Amino acid sequence: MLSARIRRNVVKLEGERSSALDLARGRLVIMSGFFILVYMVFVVRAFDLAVIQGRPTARDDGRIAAQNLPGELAPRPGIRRADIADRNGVLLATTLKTAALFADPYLIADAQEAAKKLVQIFPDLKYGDVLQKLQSPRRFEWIERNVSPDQQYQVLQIGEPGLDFKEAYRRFYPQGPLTAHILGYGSVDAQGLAGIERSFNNYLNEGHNLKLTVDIRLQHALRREILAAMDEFEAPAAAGVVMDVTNGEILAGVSLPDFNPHNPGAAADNAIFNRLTLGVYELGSVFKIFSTAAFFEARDLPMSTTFDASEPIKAGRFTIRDYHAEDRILTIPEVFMYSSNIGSALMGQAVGTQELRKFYSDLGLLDPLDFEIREVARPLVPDPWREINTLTASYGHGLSTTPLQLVTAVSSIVNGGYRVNPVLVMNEETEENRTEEPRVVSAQTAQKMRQLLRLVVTDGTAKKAEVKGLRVGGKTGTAEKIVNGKYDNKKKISSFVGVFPMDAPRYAVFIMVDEPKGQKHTWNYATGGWVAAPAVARVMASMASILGIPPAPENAPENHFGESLKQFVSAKEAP
Amino acid sequence: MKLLRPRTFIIFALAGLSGAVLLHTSQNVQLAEERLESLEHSLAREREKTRMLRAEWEALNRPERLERLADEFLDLLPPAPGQMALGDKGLLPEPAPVDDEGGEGYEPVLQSVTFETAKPPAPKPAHKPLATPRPPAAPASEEKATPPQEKAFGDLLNELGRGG
Repeated sequence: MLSARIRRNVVKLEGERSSALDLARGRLVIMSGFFILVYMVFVVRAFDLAVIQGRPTARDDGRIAAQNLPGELAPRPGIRRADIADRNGVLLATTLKTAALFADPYLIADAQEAAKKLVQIFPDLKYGDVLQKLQSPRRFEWIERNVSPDQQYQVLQIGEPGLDFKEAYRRFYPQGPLTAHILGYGSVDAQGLAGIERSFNNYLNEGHNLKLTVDIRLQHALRREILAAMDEFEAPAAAGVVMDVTNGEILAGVSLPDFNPHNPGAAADNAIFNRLTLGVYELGSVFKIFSTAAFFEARDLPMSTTFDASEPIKAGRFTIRDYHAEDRILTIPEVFMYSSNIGSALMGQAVGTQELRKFYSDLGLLDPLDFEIREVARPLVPDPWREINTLTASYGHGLSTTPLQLVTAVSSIVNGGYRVNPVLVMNEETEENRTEEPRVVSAQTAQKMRQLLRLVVTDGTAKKAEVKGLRVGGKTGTAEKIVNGKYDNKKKISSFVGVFPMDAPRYAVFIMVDEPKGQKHTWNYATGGWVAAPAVARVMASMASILGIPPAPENAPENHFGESLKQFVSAKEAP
Repeated sequence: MKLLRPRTFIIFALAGLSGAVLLHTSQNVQLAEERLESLEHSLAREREKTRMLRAEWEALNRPERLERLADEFLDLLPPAPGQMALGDKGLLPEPAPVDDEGGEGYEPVLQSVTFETAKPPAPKPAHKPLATPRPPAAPASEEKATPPQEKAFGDLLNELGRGG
């Protein structure tokens, strides 16, 4: 009984001891397991850091991490200034990535040596300037903002640790000066300073691509022919535009001389100046299109109406004479085709001062253009507008407008009488908007004007503008320039506005040449009919082949458009 | 000892296993991310290269340059307005009728060919027959004409921002 109890106690005691030992051992196992686990975690993490993540990645070797640099040019992620294309998608302006060289003078080992070598690589740099920059106390100095890949390689060959590169964005114009005045130009830090680059600055910087109405092929044809005319007549400047008369889209716009948009700073003011939108000129007889249209609108008189152009008009101290003097009584078609100032002045008188002024205003000739380029000039309008101004404005004197305004107004008349506005940015909805545009002349007047314009080319002052089968119409203009407040009959502005095909007008082409000089082969003439009309004809011929406009066949009825007016033209006596 | 029951081992084993799987997965993710990054990087580089090439292409296709080259190397002129004809007015000949039904005018597609021994090639005509034959430097004119243009693009690039 006792032994049994003792044994039980022993067993109990042993049981308690052994369970206490077990407990301690269990805790030890857990503790050591815990530590082993923790060490395992450390080992794995260390392996992860040292071996897996420690591998050099492609982007690190040899390249600079842009985020460590002071960030003047640091590109905003994902946004770069957008592209500009022409109506067919040909690139006009784009943004390219280039390298820019900077120095950290603190890290420069041998400033003199580095400066010497840099000057060899970049001939534009001056040794003194570079040395000064390399020894400056600042930590960051630009050396050269634009570095070609070749130059970059040469700079790396110097082995100077303080010289480093940064990516930079540069505006590039693949077409060079071809569209310089339309596109404009920008600053190094992607801010547009002129042209489309300026007026759509934010839009472009937000990354939206832009499509213009310009067709680069027509632009080139226009520029080529204007350059040829300038060359032929030794003219210092010229301008031209091709417009779609149905919707005002500008297919080409040229102002010469032009400039290199990559380096506008080097261009003369004369070249930067956009003659199409900023130049205001007295464009002369081309304005007879408007006074004649105003006459048809105001007075419902037949074409046979006559005006006495045998005597110059004397009004105060002015005397209005005819350049191509006929010295006789003229019918309306004769006034228009011989470009009689007297006849047009009499028409303006018949319309009346208020009406003529209102008509010009409706055509948009008296106010600055509402245009997508902000560089537009305010036309010079006589103020106050007296009777004499009505007479002179009828043949385009005493009133200065921009060439683009003139072409727009001509388009508004020949397209059937709907006011159009010049458009430079492609808009798919233009077609729909057209019907809402206000009417400036009636369809009948528009039709009469088309016939008159055709007559000028078939029988009048612009015979050189004829392109076989294209039914060209138009009006010449030769205006004397005002020099020191007086008309100078040696300095002229010769222009021609042509429209084709005249039976259903689609395109207007205007060329204006500043101060052309008469040549031997033109018998010293430098008028619109000799200078601008042939150039316009060549542009139109190019347009026909570029745009695939078929000419009317030999005996098609379209070829006889406007011939009904010939009955009002008396046959010229042989000289 | 209650803790050393088989269930505990199984739990530990599962925990270890899931840890290993987690490590493996995270490593895979890291590798994939790296690969993605390098792909994106090379994609950006390719895009940049494409932009550059497109700009160069457009610069080389300037109408003024094409016109000059066509003038120099082609015996072609742009068509004058009078040279255009509309196909639907009967001015162009109709295409010859094709009879693929095997009728009377059927001609087998495969025709017998007779082989001839090679002859020395006829002398090639001069590059561009001109009224006045060019001096022997004629082939060199092609090389001369292109390099300034090749250079032009680089020059244009170099001009970028020279003002600023």
